[in-house]
Amino acid sequence: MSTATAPAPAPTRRRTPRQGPAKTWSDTLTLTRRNLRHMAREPFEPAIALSMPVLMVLLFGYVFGGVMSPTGDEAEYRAMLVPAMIAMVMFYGIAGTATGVARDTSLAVMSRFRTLPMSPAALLWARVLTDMLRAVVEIALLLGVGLLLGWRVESDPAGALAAIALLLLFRLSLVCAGVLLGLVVPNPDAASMLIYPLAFPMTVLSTSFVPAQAMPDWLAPVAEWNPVSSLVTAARELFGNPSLPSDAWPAEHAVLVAAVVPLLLMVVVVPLALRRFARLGR
Amino acid sequence: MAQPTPPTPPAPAVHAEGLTKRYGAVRALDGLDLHAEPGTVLALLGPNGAGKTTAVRTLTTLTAPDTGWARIHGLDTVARGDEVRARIGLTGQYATVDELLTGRENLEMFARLHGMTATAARGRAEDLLTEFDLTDAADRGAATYSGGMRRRLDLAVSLLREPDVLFLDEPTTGLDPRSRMGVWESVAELVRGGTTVLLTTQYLEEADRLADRVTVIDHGRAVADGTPDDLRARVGGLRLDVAVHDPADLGRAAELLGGALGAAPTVDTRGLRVGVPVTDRVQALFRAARALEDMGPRIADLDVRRPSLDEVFLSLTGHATAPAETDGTTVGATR
Repeated sequence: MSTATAPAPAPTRRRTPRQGPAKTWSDTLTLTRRNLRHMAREPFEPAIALSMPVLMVLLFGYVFGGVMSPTGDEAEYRAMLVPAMIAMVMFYGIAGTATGVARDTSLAVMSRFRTLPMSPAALLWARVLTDMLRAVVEIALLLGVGLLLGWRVESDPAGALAAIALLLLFRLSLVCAGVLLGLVVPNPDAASMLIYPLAFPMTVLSTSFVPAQAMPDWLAPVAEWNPVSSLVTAARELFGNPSLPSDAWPAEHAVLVAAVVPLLLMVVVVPLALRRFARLGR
Repeated sequence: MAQPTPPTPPAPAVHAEGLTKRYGAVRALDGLDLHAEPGTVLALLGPNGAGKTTAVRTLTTLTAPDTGWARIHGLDTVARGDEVRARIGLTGQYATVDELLTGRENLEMFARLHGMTATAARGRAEDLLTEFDLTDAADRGAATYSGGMRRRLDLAVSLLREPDVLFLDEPTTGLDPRSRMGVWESVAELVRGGTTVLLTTQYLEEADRLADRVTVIDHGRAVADGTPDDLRARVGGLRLDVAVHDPADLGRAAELLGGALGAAPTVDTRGLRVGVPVTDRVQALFRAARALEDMGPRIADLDVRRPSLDEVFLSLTGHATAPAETDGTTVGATR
């Protein structure tokens, strides 16, 4: 107000912030914090994803335990269910990933992100980081539940860590798949609608709860070759827990299958997701 | 920051030529040219579907034009998108704040994404909360904000980095009159501080009130461009308007006026008005008053006025501006 004619702002008034890995990493952390706040303020989805498998285990462990247990020892059967329960929670998390991505990319917020001097891919990295942090918390909580149910690590710490690593690797591949799914579905609601009907059969149609021999002949191979079966079997082995008897190839090489399948899945879905993301809104 | 080689002459703040963009069979932009000097307000005026939002999306690097180019302070929006993004702010048609975060968290998050340090982000957020009268609501979730508060927060977010050019896509659509005034005051304040503003609107009053220049858009191209006064002049000069109470008097008033002023009157039967184009304001008033004297109290109003931007728009495009309905296209929601 002191000068009569304000000079027009020089175009160089704003320096361009440096872009690069450091800025992308800092953006990823900023957005991860936002995602964690979202989760704390809308805890419905994580609560469902966590409670469903716990309820399943309680149902199988206590209600059906007497008839389901292959050895007739109900306590042993319940211990056997704990790795299955964790694998289920890892799977159910895919709904949260897909919903989160669909929400970020369909909301008007996305256009604001894209007019900022930031790497839009930080949105995806933040999603991955958030959901992996969530997975770690979930595993810790579920192991606590397991201890209450009488489950114990019966191998050694190295084995237990290896089991947890396999579970997290499995989750990582599903997070990547969830990102792709979230980019493809038309809206956030569709994401969760799709996932639960997918996650439920994928986790139950396995050798998580009952041995394959108890299934009809045509179904047994489906359950045996379901990667979830290999993951659960591998986790049981590594934790030193009893396993359901099986002589199928994926069960005998459970650790190998549980390590390779997630890697294969990621090789397929990660490039697809990145390509899809780059083309959004163009 | 001294610039090694100052550009001569300085580039316009917003400059676009021949922009085209098709979405399937729809030509959203069809050879649009735009131009705004630094420190001025350019209004893009047009009905729904005229291409205003697509124009903003193109200028803000959200979408690339099929042909043509756009530059912000001389920087191409496609080739130098990062540099453009560092200089612009965008407030979309619908607020794009994060509803699950509080007002303060929104500002701090976006400030961090702009590359500010945590301390700088906190300070800037506090300043903007005060400036936009959001201090009391700062720690409430944005989902609980009223429409006007949300828009103010959105505007504050676009101003975090003091952009050289601010884009406002229908900044007051859906706001009550008081909130609208609030947004107008904020914009006027920014322009006084030297910011260039490009706004889209279908409210002619808004363009009239805020803009130095108005570009009228229809079917994806500019159909007229100039100051609000230029545009009025293009449609014609002064009009003498007579209003009556009773529709039965319209015919007689038209006859008397036409005779007294020597021009063909237009009769608006719904508005109960008769209008005649005139050149000399004072002479026209004298003649009309004398001619209508006998009708006395049957005349409700007699005035000489300049055409409104509504009339300008109508005559430029052949159709009226649409009522304030949205057509489902927003800056944000397009995937």
